[in-house]
Amino acid sequence: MTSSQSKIRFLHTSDWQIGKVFGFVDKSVMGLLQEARLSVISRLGKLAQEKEIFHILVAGDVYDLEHPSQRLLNQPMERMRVFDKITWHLLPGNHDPQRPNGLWDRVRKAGVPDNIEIYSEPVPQHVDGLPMVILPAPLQHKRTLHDPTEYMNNVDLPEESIRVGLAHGSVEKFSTSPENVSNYIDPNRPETANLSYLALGDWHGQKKINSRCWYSGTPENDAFKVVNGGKALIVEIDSPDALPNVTPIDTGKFTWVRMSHQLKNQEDIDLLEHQIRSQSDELDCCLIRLRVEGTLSLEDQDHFHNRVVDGVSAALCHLEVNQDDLFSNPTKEDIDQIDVGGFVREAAVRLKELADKGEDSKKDLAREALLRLYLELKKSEHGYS
Amino acid sequence: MIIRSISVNQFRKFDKPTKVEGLGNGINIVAGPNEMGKSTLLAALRAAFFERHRSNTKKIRTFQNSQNKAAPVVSVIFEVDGRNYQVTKRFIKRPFAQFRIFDDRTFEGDAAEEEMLKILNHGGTDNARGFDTFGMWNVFWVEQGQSFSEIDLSEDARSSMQVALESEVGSVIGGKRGRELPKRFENQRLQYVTQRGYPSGSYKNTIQEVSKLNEELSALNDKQAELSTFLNDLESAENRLAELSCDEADEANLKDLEKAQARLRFLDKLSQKINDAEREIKMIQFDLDRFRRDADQLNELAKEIDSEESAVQSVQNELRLIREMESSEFKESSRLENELNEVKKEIEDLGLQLTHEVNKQEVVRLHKECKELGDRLNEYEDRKSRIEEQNHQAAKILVTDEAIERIQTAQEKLNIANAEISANSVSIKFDMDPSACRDVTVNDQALPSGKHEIETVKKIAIGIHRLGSITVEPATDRKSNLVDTLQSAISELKIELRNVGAESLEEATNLYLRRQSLHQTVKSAGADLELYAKSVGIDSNDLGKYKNQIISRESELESKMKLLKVDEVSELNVNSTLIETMRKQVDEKKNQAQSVEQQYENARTVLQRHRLERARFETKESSHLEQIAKLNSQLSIAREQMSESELADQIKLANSQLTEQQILLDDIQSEFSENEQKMVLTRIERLEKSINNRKILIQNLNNEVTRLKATIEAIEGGGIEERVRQKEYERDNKVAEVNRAEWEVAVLDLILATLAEAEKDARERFLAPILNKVSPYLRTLFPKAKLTMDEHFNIVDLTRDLEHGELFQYLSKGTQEQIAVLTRIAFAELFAEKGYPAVIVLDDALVFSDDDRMDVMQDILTAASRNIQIIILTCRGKLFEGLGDAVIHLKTADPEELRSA
Repeated sequence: MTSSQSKIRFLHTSDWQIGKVFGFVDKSVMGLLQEARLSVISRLGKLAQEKEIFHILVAGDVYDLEHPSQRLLNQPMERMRVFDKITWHLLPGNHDPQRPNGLWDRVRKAGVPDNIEIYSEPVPQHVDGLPMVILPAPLQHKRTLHDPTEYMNNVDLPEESIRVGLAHGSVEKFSTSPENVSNYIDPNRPETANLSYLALGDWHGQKKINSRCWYSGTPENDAFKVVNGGKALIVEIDSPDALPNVTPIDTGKFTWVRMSHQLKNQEDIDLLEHQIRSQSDELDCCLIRLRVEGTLSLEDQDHFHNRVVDGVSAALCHLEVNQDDLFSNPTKEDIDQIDVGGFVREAAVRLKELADKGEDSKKDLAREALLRLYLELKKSEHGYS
Repeated sequence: MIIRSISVNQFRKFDKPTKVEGLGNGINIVAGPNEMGKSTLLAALRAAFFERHRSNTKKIRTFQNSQNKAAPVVSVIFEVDGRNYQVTKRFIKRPFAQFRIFDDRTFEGDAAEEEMLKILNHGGTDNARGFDTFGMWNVFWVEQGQSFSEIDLSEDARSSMQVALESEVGSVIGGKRGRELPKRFENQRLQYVTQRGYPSGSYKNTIQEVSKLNEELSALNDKQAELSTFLNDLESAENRLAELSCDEADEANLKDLEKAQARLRFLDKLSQKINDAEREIKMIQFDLDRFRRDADQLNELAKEIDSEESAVQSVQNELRLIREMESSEFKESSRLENELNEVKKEIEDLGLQLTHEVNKQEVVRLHKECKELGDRLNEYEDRKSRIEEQNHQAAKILVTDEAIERIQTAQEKLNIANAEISANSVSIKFDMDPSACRDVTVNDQALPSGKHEIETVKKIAIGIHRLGSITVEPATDRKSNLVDTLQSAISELKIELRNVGAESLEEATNLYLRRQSLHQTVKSAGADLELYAKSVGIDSNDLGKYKNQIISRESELESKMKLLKVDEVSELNVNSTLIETMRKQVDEKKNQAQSVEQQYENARTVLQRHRLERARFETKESSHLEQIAKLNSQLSIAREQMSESELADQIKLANSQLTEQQILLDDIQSEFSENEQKMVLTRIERLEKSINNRKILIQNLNNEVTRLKATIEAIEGGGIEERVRQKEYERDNKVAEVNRAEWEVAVLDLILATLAEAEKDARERFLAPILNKVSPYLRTLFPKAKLTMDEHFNIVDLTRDLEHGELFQYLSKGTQEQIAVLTRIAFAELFAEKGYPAVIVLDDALVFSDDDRMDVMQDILTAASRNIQIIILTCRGKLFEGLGDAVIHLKTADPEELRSA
């Protein structure tokens, strides 16, 4: 192999997790989210084409499952095949480890497009026409107790080679007991293994660990907890010793937002509605997990349902509302609206007592019952049956 | 409201104008006898207030008098809030309605009814709430027999009560909207669960789907686990294959196998040598044995020949002795045989003589027997012919039993005819000298001599010579008939006598007796003949048999005589003593012959035994001689092959060779170990097996890898994990749906339970005014008693001792009635307080109450009558005397006011 260029440029991505199931959304939304994970491959390819980047390093977890259907297995391959000028470097991660007769053997058996490289062994790979040598650290199991990048320390390569590590795992030990630390990667590996850059996958939020070590994050966000997701990295390295020039780019289509809001009255509710509407220009690609807290009268609760739960949510791809800390505080007017007398009012008063002072297990039920009583009477007032 | 008077005309049994007037505030007792028309008055009251005058329903038609079918008329004067009103209605024919407000206007027709309803429903005031109170009037106006039953309020009445009570307790009840609310929530609940709380509809379907999805998921998880196992198995198999392919064990085993096989070949050669040596030894030993055997055989043959010769000698000695004995015995036997033949000849001669004598004796006997038999037959036949002769004589006499009877009958008839003629005849006596009688003729016939009297029934002429004649004609008109009868009887008798050949009755009688005697004799002789035949053995029915017997005997006799060659029996001289003597001689000779024959048989037996013995020894002798010849032949042949000396030389040579070969065998065996050979063989087997097993193992592993790959490919192709995730997603969604439905049901249950509880409490408060009204009266009747009522105003139970409630229907009739009246009073008081019309009418109420209770009830009625009007219709006026009120009676009303049609 001859190096015709001394400078290298590639796109760093990871954690596509094709085939991921989103249990908390309904079927139609799930279809959108799953399709989005495939679409982002094309978007990455187009982005690379636009930037004249010819190598895309995928740092693990191309698939979410070890045993996908053949169609699912082929779908990302077909998306990548289209970009024939680009070489896609794929690394087995903890979700899709390299196992004998496993997922990657099936991929190979089905026929790997020429523009795709799959790294099943920790063997350095010279990249044609570039001084770049990829040192892959494929995972053989979901959990590996040893650092898969450790072998990189002992790999001898010509001095002019730009050594790029490609690995999947965590640079943090989340557990204090050694036997529970899995897929750990030493963040100092670039230093110990003389790497110009260590392209990492596993964390879905983009993060710089040090100047030579980055998590690209998932190109299409897939959870509310992920911070800085829906991104990729363009990496440029001028020489083996030079620090890499790393540029984050947005790749995600869907916005995942976590919101928390205090509600006391209808003004707060209206403000919340406004804030939600301001989250994105494309609300139909916006998923929101909303946590509300506070105390509302029955009338305000009705307002909250009308404006938020049933209202603005229709504009969003998905709205999840956690009302565990939103309490109802029926006012005298609320109760009067239910009835000024008679046994219905008496029932409302009893439910309010139960909601305020009853057993914890009954409180939520009583609140809901009271609200339902209120809403039902309102409905009957408006002539709904 | 106060009812002042009630007037009726042509209303059911009231076919004349009748009225009750003078009804005042408080209690009014309208008394009268049974069938007075109390119930009709109550019906008229209802008709006045509730029935439309134009109505022509079946009920209305029942108001008509059943006889005249005139138009019923009713008129009621009543007071509401101090104003008097009168309503008059006529039904069916020319219907008419009039409502008069005293000192004010009068309405007629439909307007009259409308106006009255306004007054009644509004209580005549403006402040009362308008509603239909008529439902309750049925509660206040209690017909006969209804007062003691449970108060069964109609929907209208219940509604009236509720409205009245709501105004009392405010809006405790949630109004119409409140009453609908539980239904709405109940309907919402029914979308999820059944009335009893079992899941239904889509909720139930979702639960079933969760269960189904869990099952599918479980199956998929199993399959996924299976896939995992397959993958592990595949990995293990491939690792094992890899181990086996680089394992050196096979090579080492092959080297060991070659070494073992070389050693085995060497040991096999030694074994072969041992076998050869052993075979050589066996052959030498075989020859040696054969030589020894041949020598022994020669020796043995010589010995056998000697033995046989000695045996022949012995047999020949025996044979000589036997032959001597046989000869002697043969002579004795011959002698006895001759002697026996002689004795037999003598017996034969004696026998012939004896037979001759016996035959003679037999001929004599047979002759005698034939004669006796012939005599008996003759006797029998003689007797028989005599009987036949007598029988023949009897047959000739024609006077049978029937004939004699007919003759006797004819005679009797004749006697009767004579008697009748005699009775009717005229007797003419001639008391004359007998000589003179000669001159007398009768019908020209001389008077029979000696006859001095004649009788006649005919006209006769008695002539007296020279004197003329005298004609006598008996004066009877039957003379002709009597004479005919007599002639007929005479003629009949003559015919009968002529038929049997007799001239007179006496002759006929004698003939008859003769015939009888002959028959008797024949019968007796016949019986004797039978006895005789039996005694001599003659079968009277088969005489031929007896004759054949005689012929047989005669034939036998003839043949015997021919044998003896005699013609006459008398020629024979029979000597019985000679026969006996000859018989004894024959017997003696026979005994002698028997003895000689026995001796002869014994001698023959001994002779036969000697002969058999001789034959046996002769055979023995010949056998020994043959054996000797045979042995000599064998010996000669054996010696020709190899003599005794030659055999001794061969034996010596073979012994020497045997020793030599044994030494060689011992040398080889010292080098060979059978155990080692076995061990080497075992090792070879083990090594070969091990090498083979490894080949099979590799083959099996390859097969297993192929199979597992195919299986894994099939499962992975179906995307098992993807399907698991998909199913988990579906299941979780359905579980969430179920949870939502459970939450929904829990919320609805809580709402419904709370509403029901609140409503129940409200109803308790709602019923309190009624119970508060009833309680004082009830406690007057039953101190400390408490009444329970449901929300439909039904009396549930009565608690008298503050502990145990008694269900209303199980209370006594009297108590039920008293409580029902109290409750009605309470209802009426409540109504009256609200300004609504409320009059209590009791038709024959409280009839089941005892005196004590009646007193208390009268107190209660008196107390209640301060607030409401009570009208008591009764046929037992005395029962209510304790009330102290005047009793009102029915009066005649003005026909003009109550004009019927």
